[in-house]
Formats: sequence, structure tokens, C-alpha cells
Amino acid sequence: MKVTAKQYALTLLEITEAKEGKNLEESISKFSELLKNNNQINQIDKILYYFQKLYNQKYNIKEANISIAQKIEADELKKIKESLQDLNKDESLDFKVDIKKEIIGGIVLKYGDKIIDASLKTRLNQLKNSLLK
Amino acid sequence: MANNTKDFIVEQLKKQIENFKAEDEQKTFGLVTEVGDGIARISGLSEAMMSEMLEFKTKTGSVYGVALNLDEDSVGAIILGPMGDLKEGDEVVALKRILEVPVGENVIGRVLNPLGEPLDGKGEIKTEKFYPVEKIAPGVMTRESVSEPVQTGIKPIDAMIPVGRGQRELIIGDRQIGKTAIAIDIIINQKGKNMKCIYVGIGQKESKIANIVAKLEEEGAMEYTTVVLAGASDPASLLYISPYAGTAMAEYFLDKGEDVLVVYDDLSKHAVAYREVSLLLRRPPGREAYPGDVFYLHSRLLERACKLNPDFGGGSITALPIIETQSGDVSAYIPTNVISITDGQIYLEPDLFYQGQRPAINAGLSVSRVGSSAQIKAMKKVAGKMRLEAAQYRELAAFAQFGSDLDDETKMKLERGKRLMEILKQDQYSPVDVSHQIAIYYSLINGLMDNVPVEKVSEFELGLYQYLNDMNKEVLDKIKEVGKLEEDIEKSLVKTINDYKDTLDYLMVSEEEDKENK
Repeated sequence: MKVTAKQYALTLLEITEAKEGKNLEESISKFSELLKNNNQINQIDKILYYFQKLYNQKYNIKEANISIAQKIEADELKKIKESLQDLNKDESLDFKVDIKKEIIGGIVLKYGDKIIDASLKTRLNQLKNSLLK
Repeated sequence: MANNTKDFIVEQLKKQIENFKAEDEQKTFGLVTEVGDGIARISGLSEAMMSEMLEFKTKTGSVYGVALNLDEDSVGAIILGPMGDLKEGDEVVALKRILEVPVGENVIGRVLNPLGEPLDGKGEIKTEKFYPVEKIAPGVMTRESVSEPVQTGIKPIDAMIPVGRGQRELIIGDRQIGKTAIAIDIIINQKGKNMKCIYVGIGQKESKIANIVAKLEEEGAMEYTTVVLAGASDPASLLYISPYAGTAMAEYFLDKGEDVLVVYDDLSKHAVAYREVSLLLRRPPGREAYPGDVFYLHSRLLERACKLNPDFGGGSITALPIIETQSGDVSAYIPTNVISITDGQIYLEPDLFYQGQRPAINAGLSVSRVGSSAQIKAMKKVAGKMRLEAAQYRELAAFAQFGSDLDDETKMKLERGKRLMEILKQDQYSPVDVSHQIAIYYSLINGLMDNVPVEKVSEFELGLYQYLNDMNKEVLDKIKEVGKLEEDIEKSLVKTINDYKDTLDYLMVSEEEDKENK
């Protein structure tokens, strides 16, 4: 029977549960051994993708991504993070901040599979479309 | 002066920009995990709706698609139009609305693609309204039975297989047998009959459509016709939505209480396009590899044809779907499906076609399940007798081939049948008015044509139309106006026909008269 990437991810999640330090390392190396024996090393990308998903689901974590055009002040960033946290009261957010020059200005917030696009680039596109009408 | 215009332009621009308001909404997004063959698979998008519009953000601009498969942890979507630079990992945003097409008076006379974009180079189509492509058909309470005729202008159809406004009549036959020709003739004949027409070409050669549009323009039929085209080179996704888009445009006029005729040319290619999309989306194949819901594919389309009752505007959508059969096989999957959905079919037969009987309509296999209530009384009267005559002729002709010793009555029936078969022939692009049709059928069933030689029938027919137009226009107008063959109309008609016959020199002389003359 074929074992799917999702099933591998679930296994990984289960064997690593509540383990730390050496124990954890051991489990992980055993898991990679298993993948190697089953000739499934090439599936690793998919397995990790599902693992992250399952892990987040289990511990109620959401990935949040803040894209900005240029560096902003730390307390400003903090405010943004706080307001994002307000939108997702039940989950703990795992923040990532990256600087994307192509959005020109403004901000793009992503959390889970939701997006709030308040970038200058999108605004300009909307303006273009409304002027063309 | 120049300065003024400049200021004006700047002022206008400022105003428009001032009025522009952008709102930042929370939207659902996903990432493309697989793309190819006009299909994309997307992860994320957890709240996507069935047939929701999706915006694919590529480096060079946006591409649009429609979500068709909502799976456990992915969404399968078709991409409308060329894929552009779409690649794995691109962002997809759900637009929270269902696919819509522009509708309105402005689409008339235009050639459009299924998304409502112009293909005829006559500039952008500006409409205020958009209608969703998929819509639930009108329910029982809003409907009414079909009562008004569609004058097709094709003699055998108007007499034997009448089509009413709001009916769904299938045109079925092999390739190259004149299915499209019938549909185009019907469109041409709708001039001045208070009918909007929409021709939906699905997977048709663009050259064929160019010919059709040129012909419609020449006949002045583009004044009330819209052509929706998904060409043979367009992706299957466009072919799949095109009949629904055409119907959405028709529904605009329906809601205004007008009558619309929609031709779907043809639904076999539509089913094939849907099969392609479904197989690529990995839906399980069924009979002939079509997915399980091909029946629903066509039934939900054709159910949108309707006749509404006056409380709901009284409009109608008449649907003329076309199905191409493979070497006359009407028992294949798609033909049987569509036959069972429609209110009747016009069956075109290769044998008749090669015998020179054109249009090659097989009167025996063609039916109209609601039509006869949609005929004017005068036509009903002559058509009833004519149908009987035709049936008797078919029966006799089969066994008359074996013997030559026939009694006079049989001979007469055969002779009349031959003339009838001649009358049923008709040239392309030359629809015949109802009153003319009634006149010619009337002369046949009352024996007024028995002494016209068979090979002269078509000449006689055209001459009769001309003579009636020139000498007794009132009787034609009266037939159309009253709708019945009253006694005085009948007398006047007989007199004109006899007058016309007196002008002819090719009539056969019967034996008795021959003797008398000697």
C-alpha cells in the first residue's frame, strides 16, 4: 500500500510529540531512516509542508506574514502585530516580516489563508481600472 | 483655448481620482501547486465557493479562473483564456463573486467571446449590467405553456414540426448536412418579428463564423443578433462556459419581457470540452469517458429556455440546440440525453440529403412535443391534411416500387405525394412567409396543383408567391391578420391561384379535356 505524504507527516508529528533534546534527535533520525528505506526521500518537501500544517493545526498556531516596502520603526511594527493578534484572538500567531520593494508602499498582511492587501501597488491598479471604465 | 482644454482635462482627472475609493477587504488566498492544460490546482483557499471567480496574480498581470473542484485540501480551477505567465507558487485570490458577463442592448449586432469581450474590432462593449453566467432556471409558478409561434420560414418545419416561443427544439444530424443552415435561415427570418437572436458558436471554425456573420450582415439580420463565439482554437474552459454566457445575455431581454431565440451550435462539442475539463480535473469518467454529470450539464442549460407568464413580464427564450451525430447514430450518449431534455427534434437524414431533398428533414423521426398549439389556425388547417398526405405517400411509395398496376386513387395519391415532396424542398437563405406557405399547401391539398408537372413545381411555387404579392396582397395580409381561413379568404385565394394558373403554359392537360378539344 502506498503511504501518502500526509500520512508520513502525521507519523512524524506523533513520534516527535512531547520529546526533547536527544530523544527528539533520535526520533528524527529514525524517521529519515524510514524514508530512506522506503525510497521516499524525494517526498520530503511535501511531507514538511503537511507537517507544518498539521503542527500549526495541533498547537493552534497561525503563520502571519507582514510584507512592507521599506523598514519601519519597531513600535510601529509592534502596533501592526497587536492589531493582527486582535483579529485572531484564539490563535497564537507566528510572525514573519519581509521587505518587498515591488509593493511600492503600504502593507500586505497574510495570516492563515487570509490576505489584507493594502499595498500601494494594488491601489494604483485599482485606480487604473476605475479610470479605464 | 488650448489652455482651457488642458485645465478641463486636469480638472476631470482630479475629480475622478477624488471619487476613487479603495477598500481593504480581508480576502482568502491560496498558492498554485500545479498548473497546465488550462487547469490549475491551488492549495489554501479554504473558503472558496463553487464556481467562484479566482484571480491569479502573475508577474505580468492578472489571469482569471473559475473554481470547479473543491477538494479536501486543494481547489481545482479552470483558467479562462490564455495562461500567460502563470506558474507554480503564484498567489490566487478568491474574488467572492460568481462569473458574470456584460448584458444589455449594446451587445446586439456584435461578435463576442464568452467573457463578453469583443471579437469584431468594433470597440469595447459598454453595458451597465452584468448577469451571472450560471443561474437557476425560472420555476413552475413563473411559467406559462407555449402558445405563440416562432415563424421559422422553413416550409417543412412550420407545417409539420412547428416551434413555439419558449420551446426547446433540437436540430440533430450528421456533419455537413445543413444543421447550421437551418438555424441561420431561422435567424434571418426573424426580421421584423420582434425577436432578438443569439447565436452561440461552440468550438466552431472561425472561418465558418466569419461567413455566417457576413451573411447575417448582408441580410440585415445583425440588427437583432448577437454572436457569441468560442472558437476551435480557444481553450476548453471557454467552450464550456460559452452557452451559459449566451443564455445570460438572453436572460437580460427575457427580464425585459422580450422574446429571444438562442442557437447553441453545437452541444456535442460542448460536451467534449466539458469532458476534457473534467478529465483534467481528475473527475472519474463514466460512459464514453464523459463525467457523471453531463446530463445535468445540458439540462440546466436548456431548462433556462422558458415562456414566462404575463405577471413575470411574458418574455420567452426559445432554444435551438444543435447536436452532431456520427453516421446517423442517434442512440449515442449525448444525442439521447439531449433528445430527452428537449421538447422535440428536427432530424436531418443523409439519404434524403443525397436524393436532393434539401433541407433533408425526416418528417417521420422529427417531432415537436408542444408545437401544434403554437401554430396559427390557418396553418393548422392545411398542415393537418398535408401531414396525412405525406404519411400516405410514404406508405404507398414503399410498395408501389414493385408493381405498376395501380388503381386510379393510388396513382393520384402518389402523384400528389411527389408534388408535396417538391414543395418541401427549399433553397438556403430564402425563408418563406407563413401566408405564402399556407397558399402553397392549400393549393396542394385541394388538388389545384395536380396538373402542374412535378419538375415544374418549384417554378410554379415561386411564380405563385410573386403573383400573390402583385395581384392579391390583401388576402395574404388577411391570412396573417385573422389567422384563420375564413370562407371569403378561401374563395379569394382559390380565385387568385386559378387566375395565376391561367397565365401558365406548362400545365398538363387531362385526358378528358384532351378529347373535348379534339
